[in-house]
Amino acid sequence: MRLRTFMRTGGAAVAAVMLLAACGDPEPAAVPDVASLLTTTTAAPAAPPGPPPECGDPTASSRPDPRLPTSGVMPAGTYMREIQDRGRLVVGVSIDTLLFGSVNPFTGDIEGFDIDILHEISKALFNGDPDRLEYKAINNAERIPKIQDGSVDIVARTMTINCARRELVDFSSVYYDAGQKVLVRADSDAAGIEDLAGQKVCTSASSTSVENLRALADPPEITEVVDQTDCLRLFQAGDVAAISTDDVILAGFAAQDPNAKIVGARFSDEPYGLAISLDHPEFTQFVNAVLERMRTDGTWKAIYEKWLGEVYATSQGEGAPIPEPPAATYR
Amino acid sequence: MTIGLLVAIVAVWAAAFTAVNRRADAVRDAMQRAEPLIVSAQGINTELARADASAAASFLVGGVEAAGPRQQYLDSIDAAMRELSVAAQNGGSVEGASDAIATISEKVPEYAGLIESARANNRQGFPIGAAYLRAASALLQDEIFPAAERLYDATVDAYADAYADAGAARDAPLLAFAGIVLLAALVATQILLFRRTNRVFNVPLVLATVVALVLVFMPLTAMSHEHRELARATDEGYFGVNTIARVRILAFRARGDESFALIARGNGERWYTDFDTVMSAIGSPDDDGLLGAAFEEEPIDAFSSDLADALDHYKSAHQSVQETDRAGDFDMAVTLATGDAATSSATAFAALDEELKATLDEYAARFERGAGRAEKQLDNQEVWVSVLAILVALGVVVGLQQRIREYR
Repeated sequence: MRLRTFMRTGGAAVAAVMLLAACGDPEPAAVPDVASLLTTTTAAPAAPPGPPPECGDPTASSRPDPRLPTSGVMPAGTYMREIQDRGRLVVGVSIDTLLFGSVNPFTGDIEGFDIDILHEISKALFNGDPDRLEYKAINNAERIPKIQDGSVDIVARTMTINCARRELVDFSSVYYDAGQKVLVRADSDAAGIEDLAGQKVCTSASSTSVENLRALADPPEITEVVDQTDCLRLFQAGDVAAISTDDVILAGFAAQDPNAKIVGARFSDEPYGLAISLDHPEFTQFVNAVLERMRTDGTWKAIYEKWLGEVYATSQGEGAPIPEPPAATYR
Repeated sequence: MTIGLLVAIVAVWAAAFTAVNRRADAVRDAMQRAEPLIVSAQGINTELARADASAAASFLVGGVEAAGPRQQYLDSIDAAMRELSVAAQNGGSVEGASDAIATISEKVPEYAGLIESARANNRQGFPIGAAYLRAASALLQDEIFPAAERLYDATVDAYADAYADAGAARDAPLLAFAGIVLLAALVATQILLFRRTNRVFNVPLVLATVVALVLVFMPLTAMSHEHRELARATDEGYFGVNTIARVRILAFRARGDESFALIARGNGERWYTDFDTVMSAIGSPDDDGLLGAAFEEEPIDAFSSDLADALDHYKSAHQSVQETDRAGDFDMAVTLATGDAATSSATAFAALDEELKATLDEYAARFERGAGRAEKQLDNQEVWVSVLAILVALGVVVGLQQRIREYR
């Protein structure tokens, strides 16, 4: 009898034990979730571009007022006055395009053809002081947005003038005539872009270069990069066979890599302009006046000789005269 | 009947022995392997971030390459690889760790190669050096740091496994159940014998019952104490180690943000924003970010106030850098960020890292002491359990043999 009661209580004990055993094993207290503490929002992707618009001659810029305002005394109500009051001109530039805009690692200064043009504008605004520039390093995709949102006053970054861009920003008159070419290995047999059909060619995204390559009859396999200089890195690593962009940019690459050479004739025209907001037409006129003065008083040629003199001499032969600056066309 | 009792004794012995054995191993594992692994994994991450920041600082300052940041870079890469080999030795078998370790081992030399290309080009005045530096950092961010994160998470899981093994919920109930069965069987046996033989006390069986009680309760008590000590060590030490380790990783990310914002030359918003996000995730010792969580769980007053001061000092130094950069004075911003002055953010960060390291070490020491106490609770239990089980078995056999002999 007692044994039976005992068995019953034993059974109850078994059930209790089973329940206890089913409880989960302990875990150490969880650290606050780092990922959720760091949530950030991602930007929406940009809309794809539509077909290129037509606009007559895109290089025709605003005719400058022949009377350039006295440096340091900008007329009230103009954008130049705002810049003068602020104390510095905010400029969008490249910091890694050798010859046109790059940081000199020894001095830390940004220098190049585009930069020297900006120094001239600074002199015209700030009583002869060329260094009143605040630099903002931008990549090709940022050239237009940074003008539109006012982050920079002006962009000097090997920027080609065309109708599509004219709808979004204003341009100065042409200050340099570049053209697209292709850079290949020094031991390559390619004579031009046509010999690179189907091969990997690197170029910058958001540039006229990539559009020109896509428009070729026999296009190469295009590798696009966000930062143009990455093309040279990919080229050096052997990931691409060639680089195709404006000839002056390629000249900067070739200057850094003895195993590269530029081949072929230009297969596009790339007239360079300085980008300015459509909201400040008087500033465009001011900049055009500065450029006009540079064309006539020899400053342009001096800048050309400083940055491109050696490259020009190599391709055209020693003693070839420095070319004339591109003429301005006005609306 | 003898067989039945012996089986019950073996069951109790098995339940006690395996539980104690596993727990002792788990505590030792937590103490000697799992928790140090977490510190190693954190070390890999912070040393690599330190290397990247040093490379960036070298680049920013320009001119003839300064010896300081270069040596710092080399030392940090070496330290990271040392921690990696320690992690590989101790953590190779941890699930998910070996893949991460392999990825890091492959990619760090690639990263170092890109940094050397950056240097070589920089020395010649070529701007392509900047592109190599950018590629190196991208490799670190996109492939190496995620692997280091995976390694860290794997080590945290390994600790959680050890902790679970050291306190498995089934141990006590199973032992108790086996114990109840054994004791009930012993009592029932003695009652049966009393009915049949009219002898009240079978001395060996009585002794066996008493020893059986000890056999059950001794390990139960030991396990309970052990788990309590380990839980305490986890709350007072491990939690702090884990949290401060993550804070340290984030702090180095913020330091990197500062350098890269400057390298971006006027276009560094993205990094300044990340800096702010990271700083608010870190929080301060008395709010509800990571630091607050660590100090709430286990306050260490001396450390929390020093750490709060160091953090404020660094944040205000960074503020100066950011404001100077935004005002357009790039050269001054670089000096403020990289210089040796007491007010520079480089100096402030070094001081902050000292405090973080000291706090991490303190929590680790607390954990070690607590885990040591937990381990002590289980000292020799396996031996005792075995000895007592044998004694109970002897008592049963001797006691029952006496009665059986009488029947013959």
